[in-house]
Amino acid sequence: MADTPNDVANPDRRNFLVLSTMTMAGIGAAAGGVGLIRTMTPTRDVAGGGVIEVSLEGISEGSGIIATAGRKKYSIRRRTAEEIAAAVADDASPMRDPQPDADRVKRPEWLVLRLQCPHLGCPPQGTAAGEKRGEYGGYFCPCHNSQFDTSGRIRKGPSPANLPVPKYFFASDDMIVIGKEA
Amino acid sequence: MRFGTLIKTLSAAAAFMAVAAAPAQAEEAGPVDSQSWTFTGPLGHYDERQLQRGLYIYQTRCQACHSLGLVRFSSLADLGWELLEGQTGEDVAKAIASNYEIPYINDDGENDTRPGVLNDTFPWALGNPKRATATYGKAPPDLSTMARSRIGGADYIYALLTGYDDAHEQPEGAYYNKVMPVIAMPNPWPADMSDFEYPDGTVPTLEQQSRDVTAFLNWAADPYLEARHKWGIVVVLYMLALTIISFFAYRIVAAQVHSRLEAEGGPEPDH
Amino acid sequence: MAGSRSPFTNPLLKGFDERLPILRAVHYSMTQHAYPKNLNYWWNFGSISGIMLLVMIVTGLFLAMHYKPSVQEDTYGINQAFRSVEHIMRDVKGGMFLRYIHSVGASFFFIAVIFHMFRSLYYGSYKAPRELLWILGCIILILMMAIAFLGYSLVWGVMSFAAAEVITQVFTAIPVLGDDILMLLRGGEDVDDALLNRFFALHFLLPFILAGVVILHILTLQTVGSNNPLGVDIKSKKDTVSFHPYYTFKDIFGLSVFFTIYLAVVAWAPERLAEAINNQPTDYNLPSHIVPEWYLLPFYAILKVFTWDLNIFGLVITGKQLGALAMGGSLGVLFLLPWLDTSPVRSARFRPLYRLAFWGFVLTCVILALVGAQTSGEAFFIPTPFGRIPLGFEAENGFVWGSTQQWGVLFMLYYFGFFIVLMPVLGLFERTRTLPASISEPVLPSSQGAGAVAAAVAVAKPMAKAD
Repeated sequence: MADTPNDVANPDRRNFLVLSTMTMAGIGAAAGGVGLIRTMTPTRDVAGGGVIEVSLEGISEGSGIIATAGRKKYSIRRRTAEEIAAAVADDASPMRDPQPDADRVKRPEWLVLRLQCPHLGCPPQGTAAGEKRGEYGGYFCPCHNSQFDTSGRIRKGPSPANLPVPKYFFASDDMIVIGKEA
Repeated sequence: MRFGTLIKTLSAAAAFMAVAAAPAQAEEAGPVDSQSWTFTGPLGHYDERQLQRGLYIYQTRCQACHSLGLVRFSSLADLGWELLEGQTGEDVAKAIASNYEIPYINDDGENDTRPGVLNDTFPWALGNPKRATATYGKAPPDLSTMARSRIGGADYIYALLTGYDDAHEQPEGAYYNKVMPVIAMPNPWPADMSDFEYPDGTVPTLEQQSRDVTAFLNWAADPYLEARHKWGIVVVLYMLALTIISFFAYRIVAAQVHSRLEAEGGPEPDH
Repeated sequence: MAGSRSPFTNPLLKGFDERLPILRAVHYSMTQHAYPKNLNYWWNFGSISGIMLLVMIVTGLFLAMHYKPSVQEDTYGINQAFRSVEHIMRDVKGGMFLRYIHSVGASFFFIAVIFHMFRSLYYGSYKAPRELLWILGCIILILMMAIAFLGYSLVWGVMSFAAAEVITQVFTAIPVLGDDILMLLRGGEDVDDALLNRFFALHFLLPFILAGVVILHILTLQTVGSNNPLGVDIKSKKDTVSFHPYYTFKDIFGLSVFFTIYLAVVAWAPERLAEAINNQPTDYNLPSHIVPEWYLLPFYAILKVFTWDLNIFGLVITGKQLGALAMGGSLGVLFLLPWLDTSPVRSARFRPLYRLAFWGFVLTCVILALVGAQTSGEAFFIPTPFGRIPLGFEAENGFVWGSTQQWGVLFMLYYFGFFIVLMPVLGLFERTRTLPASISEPVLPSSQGAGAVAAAVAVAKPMAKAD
């Protein structure tokens, strides 16, 4: 033991050593904690997932398909000229969540929506021709009767917002990529 | 006992365990010479070119029978590919993946195949263990963890791959290998390899090919080895710093406590 | 144990402590409780063990967030449990570190506890009034062995399956109830999904029970007080020191050294202490050579050396039952240790013969570990970095002299003899050295002044060497 009187009589040196030991040990423990929390972030096999390519071939006018990415559902609907016209004409109508149709589509013919009602998360019907589409000819949520128009905007019922438009882009004329921007 | 004794005892114990933990199992196997690899040692790392060549060997010589069921194509992105303008490692991995056919059940509920994507693992050409067993009598093992699951690791795989002797007489369906005298796995190397070329022009001797595919399999079993080694350097330096500073802190605290003890003593004993 | 008054002046701390006096208990044990002032570095392993338990529980919790206890096989023939472990190693960010810190941590937890126990054995820390402290420690050891075995099974590799198969079989040695116990452990005839799921549940639960026993262990320690290298009781204030700051900093230093080695193994040799073959998913065939993890080897050796049956007047005890009994006995005898040792002197520093017997016991544990690792019928050898030193040979008629099994029996006899014969007998006949009057005082009465101090130093030096 180097119990020289200097060591004892030097509280500055002691405080410095004690404090730096504590700080360093604390930093180590904190780094370990960060490492532990990091193991809870999405794993490498799911991170970067959620991006899907969807072929538009074979979708006839007035109908649509549901594409699935992970547990998420997307509605891809090929709108008729009348449906587009109705959506644009309603731009000026009073709405809960006003948004012009032009802001909700990249190409007017194709309507791409996340198929999840903003009210409580049910999947609205109306993608395929023949499904119940509600009073406005767009989408209808069977859970609580939310009615969406041909642009997916909320027109009647409890939903507080329009059906959300996901990130997507056209890779080619008959292929879209959902989940990221170009 | 002094601190020096403690350290000596600790390191003797560690050395003993290192020796004792290499169990008697080695008896079954023949000689496994240790080779020099880029990935051993405190700063061991993979030679990316070698891994690329190893992947090529795996594709030409191994994957007809074996699988890498735990290795995702996405992990190939980090193999240090020479990239074209605007290309990423991920694109290369994607391209490799798309060359594989992955079995799946299609929308009509029938068995079908689709091109591989990044999240898929290297498929098994034999399909499943039952078919593999029916075809070969014994299913060729998955190679994902092979380099970790044999004593000697990479050295063992290399010794096995270079240990064939086709001149040796063997019963039907068995082959001679100096590491495992009766082995069900046929010699992966054809007698004449003169028409085989590496894409990068490396001379494809049997040893070269064995080394390359061994390195690749070691990577497949331990893909984050480099990250672990770098982590180790940082952590051990940090721990040494903490050791040194806490030693001096302990000494100065001890000196202070001792001088106070002489004056007034410590806490009153309970009894 | 806590004082009746709150020692805090901060109103928040004081208010809290007056309503729930746990802070004063911690404060008291850190600053008021009397610890011997002469504890050496071997006493560090107690706190190191405690920290290792914490590391294991915390890393285990995060591993459990990704692990799947299922034997279901995919088209590669890889079971889901094994795959999920590899998923942790490959897909979870930082998962490889998490898994290796846990698996290497098991070994280092045992290293710390083994040093802790041998220290106790050397300095007689199990003797009155510390019998209960020692017994709680033995319970901790047994719990640790169980937890380690359960955790090793979860990987569901080749050796996991072998371990589960063999160790559950041990219970069938129990007469009458054996088969029923086996069925309860396995949840069926075979080592299968049911077993894996209950092993996971138990591997998650038992560490918390272990932590509870550790708390009891510490509370007992605080009541009976620490032993010390001289083995004499604390006499006065001159002999004592509070835990904080002296031992806090000594422990931080000791922990740093220990963790430097531990984390270096994680970085550069994470698989060195494990069986390589367990990195292959099980195909439900037993490998030709079954070895447990290194820390279970001595007990495994005692289990497997019995290859003959015992016939006592027609009552046949099979070799399997003898092995199970002996293995149980090798742990059970630890519980009796405080009463088997008849010597009034605690520390081996003053017991020259016991010191020899102690090192013989350490050697025994090492030899038994080697026996556990080697094949029974073959010639025994000592592995060294320079090659094997054979301790047996095969005679012309095929009989093996000095087989693993024979050496195993020999050293097993020393194992039990150490506790059952040497401990009581040495205590009665051994001539011990003169004990110091107290921790602070020299061996001779202090009336001789400075000369006595010099004499004490002269006595202390050769002892330090012998340690």
